[in-house]
Amino acid sequence: MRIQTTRFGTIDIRESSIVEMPDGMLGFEAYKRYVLLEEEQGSLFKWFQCVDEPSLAFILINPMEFFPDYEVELTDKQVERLGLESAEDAVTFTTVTVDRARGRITTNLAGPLVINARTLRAMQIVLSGDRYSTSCLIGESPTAAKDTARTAAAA
Amino acid sequence: MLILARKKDRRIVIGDSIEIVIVEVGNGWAKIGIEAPKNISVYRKELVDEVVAENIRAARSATQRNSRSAADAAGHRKTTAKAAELVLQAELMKEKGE
Repeated sequence: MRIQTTRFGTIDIRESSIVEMPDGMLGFEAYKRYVLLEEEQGSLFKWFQCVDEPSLAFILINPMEFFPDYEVELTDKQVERLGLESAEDAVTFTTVTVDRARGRITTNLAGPLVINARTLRAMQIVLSGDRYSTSCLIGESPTAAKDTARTAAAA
Repeated sequence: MLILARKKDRRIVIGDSIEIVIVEVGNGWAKIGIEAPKNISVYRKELVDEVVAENIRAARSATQRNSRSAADAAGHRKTTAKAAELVLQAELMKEKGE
């Protein structure tokens, strides 16, 4: 199917690759269908593009690439809602915020996105406690996605 | 909103599976214990608010880039064609170390 996106123009996606978020992203509850995109194969940064709203997208990373000790613990309810049969099916991403004014790239470790890779059902989880912050520094002062990846790789 | 005054160690029951106990009371704060089934999420409201605010910042920063100059936009259009759907299985394999 064809979808409109602000950043990528019109793109063709397979319907089978649509990630369903029954609860949406927090603050964006009305939008429940996304697709994962990457501009360059193997890039650390992925795009989580909303299927139904061209201008809505998030930049995602695999937090383990930056924080190897990072852990997400799911409640029984979350496991059930995600339809997870095995922990190995869970893929975790975190959102990235690029603050150009301050030249900072941060990621939100307190609100990870967990996707059931088998069913492509996903949820944003809120991690209680003070262990993780919503803005953990992962890079500094880049102006474009490519520089971002380079900075991150060098870090 | 139901408002109840409770002394230290007194409890409040919500439904048949949630209990709230006032553990300690200080000047302008209260320490509260919550006993709830594992499937009930208990969050500090400001944490949820923080994640919502960060999502909004993240979404805004992700779209900002294409609202820049026309030249930039043209450059991005080039990469656009290459934007490929990510096969999640690949990510999964990487995590498993395969």
